[in-house]
Amino acid sequence: MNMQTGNEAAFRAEIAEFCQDNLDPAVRRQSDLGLPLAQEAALNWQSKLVARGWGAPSWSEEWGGTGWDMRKLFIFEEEMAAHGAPLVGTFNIKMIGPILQAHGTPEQKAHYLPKALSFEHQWCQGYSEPGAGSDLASLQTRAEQIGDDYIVNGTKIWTSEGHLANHMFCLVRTSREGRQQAGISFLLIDLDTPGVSRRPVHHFYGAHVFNQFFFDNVRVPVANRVGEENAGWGIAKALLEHERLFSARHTEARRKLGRLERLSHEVQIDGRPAIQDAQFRDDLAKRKIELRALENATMRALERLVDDGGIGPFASVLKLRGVEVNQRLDRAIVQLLGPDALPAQAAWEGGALDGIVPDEARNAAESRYWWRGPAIAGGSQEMQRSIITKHILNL
Amino acid sequence: MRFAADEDEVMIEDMLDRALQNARNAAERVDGYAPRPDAAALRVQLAELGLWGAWLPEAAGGFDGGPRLLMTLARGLGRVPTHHGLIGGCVIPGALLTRSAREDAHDLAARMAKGEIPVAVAVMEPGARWTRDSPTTRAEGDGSGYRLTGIKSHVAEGGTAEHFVVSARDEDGLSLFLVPADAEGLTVSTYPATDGTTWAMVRADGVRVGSSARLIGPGDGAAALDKAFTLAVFTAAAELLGSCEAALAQTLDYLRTREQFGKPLSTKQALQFRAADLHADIEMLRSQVLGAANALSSGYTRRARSDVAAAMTLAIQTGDLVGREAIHLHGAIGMTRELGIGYHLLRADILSRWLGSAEHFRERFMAEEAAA
Repeated sequence: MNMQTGNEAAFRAEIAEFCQDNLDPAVRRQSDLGLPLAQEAALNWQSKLVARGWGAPSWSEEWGGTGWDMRKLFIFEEEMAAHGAPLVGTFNIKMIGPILQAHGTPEQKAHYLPKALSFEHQWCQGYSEPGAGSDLASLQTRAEQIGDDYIVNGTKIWTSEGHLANHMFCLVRTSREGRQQAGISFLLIDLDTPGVSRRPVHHFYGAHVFNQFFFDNVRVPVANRVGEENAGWGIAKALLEHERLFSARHTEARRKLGRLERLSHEVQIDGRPAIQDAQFRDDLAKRKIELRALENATMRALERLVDDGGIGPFASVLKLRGVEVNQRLDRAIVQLLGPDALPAQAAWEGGALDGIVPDEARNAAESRYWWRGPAIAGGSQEMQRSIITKHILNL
Repeated sequence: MRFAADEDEVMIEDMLDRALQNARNAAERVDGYAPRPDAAALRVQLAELGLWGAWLPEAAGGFDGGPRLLMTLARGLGRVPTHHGLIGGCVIPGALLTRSAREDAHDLAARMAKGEIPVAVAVMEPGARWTRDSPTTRAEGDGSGYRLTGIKSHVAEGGTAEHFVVSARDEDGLSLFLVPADAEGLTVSTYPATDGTTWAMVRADGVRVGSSARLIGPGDGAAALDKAFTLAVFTAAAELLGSCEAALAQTLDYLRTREQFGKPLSTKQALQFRAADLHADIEMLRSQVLGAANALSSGYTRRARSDVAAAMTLAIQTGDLVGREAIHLHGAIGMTRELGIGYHLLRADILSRWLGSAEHFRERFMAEEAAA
C-alpha cells in the first residue's frame, strides 16, 4: 500500500481519528511535556497499536508490520507525534525487530519477533563500554566459544531503559585479529541469565536514565548470535535508512515549539504577554525559522530516500543541526519560565506548586538537561562533523 | 511539491553553469581586482540562452518559468562575482511592469527579458529604512497629469536607467509612476556602493508627468510593491545560497593546497570542523530556499511570504558567516581584492542593507505567522 499525494489527507485523518479514540488525554499531555511514560501506559498503548495493525509499521507484513512505503511510514510517525502519541519500545520496534528481519535465522525470527511486538520482551542496547564511546569499535567485552555457548565477560554502560529491560542485543569481541571492526559479533542476551548484574547510572539532574551491566562468565547459546561470527559491526551499523530520516528529531522539536508558543501567551514580561515583547519575539522567530528549515531539510531527505533508497551522510547534517534546534528550544522554554523552572520533577507531587506554577513548566529544566545527551550519543556532534568532512567535503 | 531539481531544471542548471564558467574564464583583471565578468555582456548572453527573463510571463518575453527557475538563475549568478543587476534591473521592475495595464509596460519588460535594464525602481526614502508603504513623495494633480515632488534614496541600477518607477502619495493613496530619467526637474546623482556597484539618489522637483504615467495604484500600489519586493527578497536569498556555495568551495580548494607546518590545512581538525559547520548551515539555507520556492510556486500566500522571510533571514545569517569564514580560512591572502574572496561578504552585506536585515525579516515572518 503506497502513498499517493491524493490519499495523504485521508491517511492523516485516519491517524487523527485513531488518536482521538484511543489516546488517553493524560498520556498525550505527558508526551507534550516530554515526560517518560510509565511501563503500564506504554504497554497499554502498544496493545492498542498492535490491535490496529500499527504496532510495528516498518516491519514486514509477515511479522505484524504494514508493508507501507517510506513516505507513508514517515507520515505515520509525523502524524502520530503531532497528536501527542507517545513513542514506545523503540529498541524493540526500530532496532532489534528490523535487525532480526534482515539478519536473523528463521528460528530467531519466530522466537523473538512476536515477543518484541507484544513487549513481552523488552530490549535494551549494549554497545557502549566505559572505554569505548565514540570509538565504539575498540569495545572489549569478550565472548569465547565453549561448546554450544559463548562465555561472555565484560561490561556495558549508558544503557538507556536497561532497568526496564529483560533482553539485551549487544556487540561483543570474538576476535582480536585484523581490524577492530572485523572481530565483533552481535549477540542476544537474556538478562536473567546467571552472571548478569546491573547498577543504575543516574543523570546529573538525578533521574535514573542509564545503567551499567556486568557480565561475569555469562553463558549465551551460540544460537543467539545474529549473523556470522565477526560480522556484528556491519549489522549494528546498518541502521534502517528510514530511521535516519528522524535524525533531526524534528517531531520532538515541534512539540517543544508548541509548548513555547503556548507559554508565550501565558507568561508575562513587564506586564504584557511575552509574545508582545520585542526581544522574546525575535528569539521565538529564530527558533521557528530554524525549525522550519529543519523540517524542509527532513522533507528533502525523505525525497532522497524515496528516489535513491538512502540519504547517506546527509543524515549527519540532520543530526548536527537537529540536536542544536532541540537544545535551543529547551533553553528558550526555561528562559521564558524564569523562576517557574526552578521546581524539580518531584516538586509536582507535593502540592506546593498547585495554582502557582503553570503546568507547562513541568519537566522543562529536566528536558534541557536530558538533551545534553543526544549531542553525545549515537555519534557525537564531533563525529557528525568528521563524517561531513570526510564523506561530503572530501577534506 | 518536489525539492530536488527535475530533469529540465538540471539541464538549465548545467547550461547556466557552463555560461557562467565561460564568462568567468574570459573575464580580465581590471584595476587589480579579481576577474569579474562584464555584466552587460553576460546579461545578453543569458538572455539569448532564454534564461535571464525566463521567470517572466510569456506576454513580457519570458517563459512563465516561475519561482523555481528564478531561483536557479539567481543561485547560479551568486556563484560568480559580477554586478549582474538581476534584482534591481529585472525582478523588481519586471514584477511591477507586468502588473500594469499600460501598453508600453510589457514592451519595457520584454526589453528586460533581452538583458537590458531600461527601468530602475525608486521607492526608498531618506530615513525610512525598509518602510515602503508610506512615501513622503507627493503626487499632485496638475491638469490632466501630475506633479511629483520628493527624494528617493538608494536606487539600484539608477545610474543607467532610462525610466524610473517612482512611488508617490496623493489623497487616494500610494501609486507608482513611470518617469523618464531625462524628465525636467528630475535630478539623478550616482554613487558607488562598497561592492563597486553603482546606485543613485533621485530628486523630483515638481516633475510633470501625464495621466498615463500612473502605472499602478492608488488602490493596490502598496500591495504591488510588497509583492515585487517579496520576489526580490526570494531572489536575493537564492543568490546568497549560490554565493555561500561558491565561497565554501573556493575555501575548501585552498585548504587542500595551502600547506603550513608541513601539512595541508585540510588535515587540521579545527579547520575541518569549521568547514563542516558551514556546510551544515548552507544545507539548512538550501532547504528553506527550496521550501520558499515551492510555496511561492503555489501562490502568493501567507505561507509563501513567511517562507520567503525565513529564507532571507537564514540567507543573511549564513551569507554573513560564510563570507567572514571564507576570508578567515584563507588567511592574509583572503583580505585582498586580488583574490576577491571577500566579494561574498560584500554581497551579503549589500543585499541585507538594501532589502532588510535579519531582524527585519524575522519580524516580517512573525507578522505573517500571527495573521495565519
